[in-house]
Amino acid sequence: MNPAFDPNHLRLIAPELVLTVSAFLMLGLSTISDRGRRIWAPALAILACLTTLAAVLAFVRNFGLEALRVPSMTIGFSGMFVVDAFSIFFKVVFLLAAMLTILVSSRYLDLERANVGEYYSLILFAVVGMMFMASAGDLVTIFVSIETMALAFYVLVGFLKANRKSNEAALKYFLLGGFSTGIFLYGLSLVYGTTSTTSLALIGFSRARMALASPEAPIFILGVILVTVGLGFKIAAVPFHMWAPDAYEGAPTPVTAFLSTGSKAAAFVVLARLLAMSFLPLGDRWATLLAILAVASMTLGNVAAILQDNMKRMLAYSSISHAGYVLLGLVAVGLKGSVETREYGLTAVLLYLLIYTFVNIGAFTLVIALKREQVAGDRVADFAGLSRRAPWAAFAMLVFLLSLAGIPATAGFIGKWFLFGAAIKAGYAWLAVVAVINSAISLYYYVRVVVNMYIRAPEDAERFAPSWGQRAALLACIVFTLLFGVYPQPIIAFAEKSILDLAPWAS
Amino acid sequence: MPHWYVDNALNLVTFLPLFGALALLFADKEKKALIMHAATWIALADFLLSVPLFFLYDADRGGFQFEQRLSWIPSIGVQYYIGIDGISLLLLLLTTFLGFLSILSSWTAVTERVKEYYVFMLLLQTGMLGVFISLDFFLFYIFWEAMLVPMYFLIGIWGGPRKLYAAIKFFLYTLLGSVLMLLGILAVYFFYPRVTGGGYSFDITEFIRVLGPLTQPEWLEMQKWVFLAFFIGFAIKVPMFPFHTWLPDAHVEAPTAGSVILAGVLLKMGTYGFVRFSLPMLPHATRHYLPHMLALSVIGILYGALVAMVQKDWKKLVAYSSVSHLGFCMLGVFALNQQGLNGGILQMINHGLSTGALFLIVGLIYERRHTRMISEFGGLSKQMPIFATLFMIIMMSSIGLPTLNGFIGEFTILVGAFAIPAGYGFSVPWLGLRVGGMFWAVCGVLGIVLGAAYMLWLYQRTMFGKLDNPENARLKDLDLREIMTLAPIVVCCFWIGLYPKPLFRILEKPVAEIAARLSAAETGGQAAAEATAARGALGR
Repeated sequence: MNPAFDPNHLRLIAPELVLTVSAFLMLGLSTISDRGRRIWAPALAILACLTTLAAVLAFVRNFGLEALRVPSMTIGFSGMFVVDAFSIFFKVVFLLAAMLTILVSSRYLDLERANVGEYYSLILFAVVGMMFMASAGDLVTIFVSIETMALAFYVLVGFLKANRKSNEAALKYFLLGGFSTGIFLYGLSLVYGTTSTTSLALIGFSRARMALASPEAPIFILGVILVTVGLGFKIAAVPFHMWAPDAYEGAPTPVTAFLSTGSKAAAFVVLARLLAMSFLPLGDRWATLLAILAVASMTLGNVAAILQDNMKRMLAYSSISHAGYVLLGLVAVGLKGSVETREYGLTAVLLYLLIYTFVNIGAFTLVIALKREQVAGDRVADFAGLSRRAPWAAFAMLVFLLSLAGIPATAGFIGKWFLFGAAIKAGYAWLAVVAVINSAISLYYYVRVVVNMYIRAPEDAERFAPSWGQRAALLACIVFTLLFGVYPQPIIAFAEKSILDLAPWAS
Repeated sequence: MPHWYVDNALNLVTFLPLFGALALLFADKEKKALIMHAATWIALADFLLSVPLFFLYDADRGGFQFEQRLSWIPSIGVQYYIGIDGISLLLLLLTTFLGFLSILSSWTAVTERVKEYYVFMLLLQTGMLGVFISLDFFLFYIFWEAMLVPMYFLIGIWGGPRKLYAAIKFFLYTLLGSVLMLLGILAVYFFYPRVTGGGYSFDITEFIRVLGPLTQPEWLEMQKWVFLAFFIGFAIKVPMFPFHTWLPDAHVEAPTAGSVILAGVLLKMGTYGFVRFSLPMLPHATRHYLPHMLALSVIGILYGALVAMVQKDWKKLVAYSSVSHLGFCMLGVFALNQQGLNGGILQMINHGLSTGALFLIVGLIYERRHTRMISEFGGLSKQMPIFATLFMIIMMSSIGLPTLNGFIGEFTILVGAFAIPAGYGFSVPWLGLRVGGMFWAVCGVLGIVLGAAYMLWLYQRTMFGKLDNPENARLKDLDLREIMTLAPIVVCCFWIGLYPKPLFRILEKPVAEIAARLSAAETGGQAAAEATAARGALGR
């Protein structure tokens, strides 16, 4: 290992650099008081994301996704930073999620009298954190990048200064987030202590060597458990989900949308990389742990969602249950099965997170667009009669809800197909049974919204007029959901090519 | 017939309603008459397009015809693979036929949110047709489940007083069944490449060809689980006792056309599933669970009939009669012989026709009186002679009177059931009791007797007697359109009752193939069991 700084490595973090500079630039520009800012600020933020996206995709163009699976080509900063197809996939997801979020934000912030430039730079900072999380090849990078993302989100959740719920949400999120960070960090220290390395790739080797001397390593296992718990907070898996409903409800709705997709996907990328790269020798152990978390998340998330009257809370619980579904894919990775099963499980995770990003942001966009002066628009009852007020919007929401429930001909079905398939393939049939029963339960509360939209009469005749940004986001999400629901081959191929190379000891 | 028709007939028939629905989406929702007529024409065109298939299908050749195979999602081995054999052909025709009639019957019944109504009806049509033409499991599943959504809306928006409850119950019940079936599909899907050593596939014909005769012990064990997964999916749809509880609610609350489609076509998807997938692909498990299947079928027949007998609501009575009749279909199918299968499949068609018509009849009365309580009626035959005549024929068809279709179906089923060898039912060794074909056939006959009882009693209470309710004195008889919705069904009932040969001829080859697979599995399974036993003996 060569500790010397190699300027060539800067090329690897070029996209992140672009985004960081843009974020600072936005921060500086936000001091300019200008009435036109509500137009140019989001436009600039999107431009920044697009530039970053182009920089990310340049890697694909230069190397090809296949070549990016060869680790030696793309490791920088003494292995602390890795650019592989896996990370690129997630960076694309984060950037898309961020762009959709920015598109739907402006009108909402206007209505909340909170349209200030810091908002967009905070979103960009969060994305920077996420992108580093995706590329982290070292425990230290992981920790620093998670905190970068989390700090941005703490502020974003409490962004509505005058709103008590928003403040409460931020406080809860901050306290529980800090608590989880402590646990996570403790786990990292135990892992480091037992393996004497912070490099993700070396932890696995070190552990494999240790296993020869001492097959049982309680301290290491404790470390793995604590790390999983720490990340469990971030993905809002039961029983580490307590912050999620309050934070989701109190946060500005666009932030909620971003939190439930981007931040969740980011936590999953770290979890997947840690488990699949570093902790794989203990695969069968943590697979059981994840299976328990999955069952708890799916069941509790879905059952609690039935009781909610607030859309944001309902989607929060639904999001908890979806984290449970995604865990199915990781369970398949952990088993001492064939490499094929592992790859199938990882593909399922990637695919689902991509699909979920579009579908969930789509659903939240409708909640955001229902917001009017003095009306929060986030109750389930606010959707009453939407099909008569705005047939196309109601149709879009219908598609998103059906997709979340996993009904065929929507992208959500493809995602669930892969996840359930992963569980079956890994021989976890009982887990798949729990998952599909949950999937049926979830339909109940999604359909309640549909009943409101299509069967109940509207409460008022107020015109439903989303902003242009919201329309664009909605269109993107609906096209994605339906197009890839019917013809999923491109995204499946993208996910299949992006799964990280399993370490040599995998087979 | 032009070549392009033969090549694309199935696609045309299946997707015409979908494109019709999409076109209707852009229509002005105030122009109700236009939308109504357009939908009717689309449905009629769809039916007319499907009729030539009946004549073009080569019954002597058998097997799947009008096939089309396109690559769709190569990553996971999904193809767009469609085709029909005799079984699916008949169900396809039934679907387009009833689809047209139910849309025709909705003209006066549906007056609000007309545009959405016809859009959902047409979407439903595509979903159902797709189920019957799919030869790729993935494709099949998409149609199978996507179809629930329009049906949910039809019940939920245009249904009766308890529509929301009925709609969500229907949706949740059937979805739960489908997702469990999905797990069964996944299990087969992952197992298949381990047998062939090739890539993933969802090709149903390949599954049947490769996995059907396979006697690998691991697969024999797995079959049982897969069978159970499929069973839950299909049995809920059929519905078999004890999974029938969604049916009375859904049927009663659904609008007339919805009930017609539900009873006429949707339930057949369950029986079709058993015939198409469970039997030929999982023959050993079918044998294994045969006693349970037969018992549930017979319980369904008797239970449905008994419950129908005590109903006060006309529509609910018809709904429970469905449970009983579908029990008949299942009894025929699980007789596992040529006659039984023939009869079971034919009875699916018969039930679609006669129960579809019965729901239309209830709908006609409901439109006039806005009640379905049997006690409200009596002596209607004097006031509505045409109605009474048509109702009489349909009722007789439902009971199974000779010269009408029901008789042919039930008779064939009983012949099949009679031939079930002893020991395929429950046997109680310590009583020296071995239940065989005789028992099942007698249960079936009992069901027919009960069926005649509740139907005739219904007819007597509503049509005969004194016209003592003054509200009924002003009822108008059927107009031309209403006659037009029932007359074609009556014609079909007579046709099948008098000359069923063309139908049996179409069914012959596919059914014979399924029956052959099942009997091969019996001998094959025994051989495998003996071989295992022999190995065990050697080991010792």
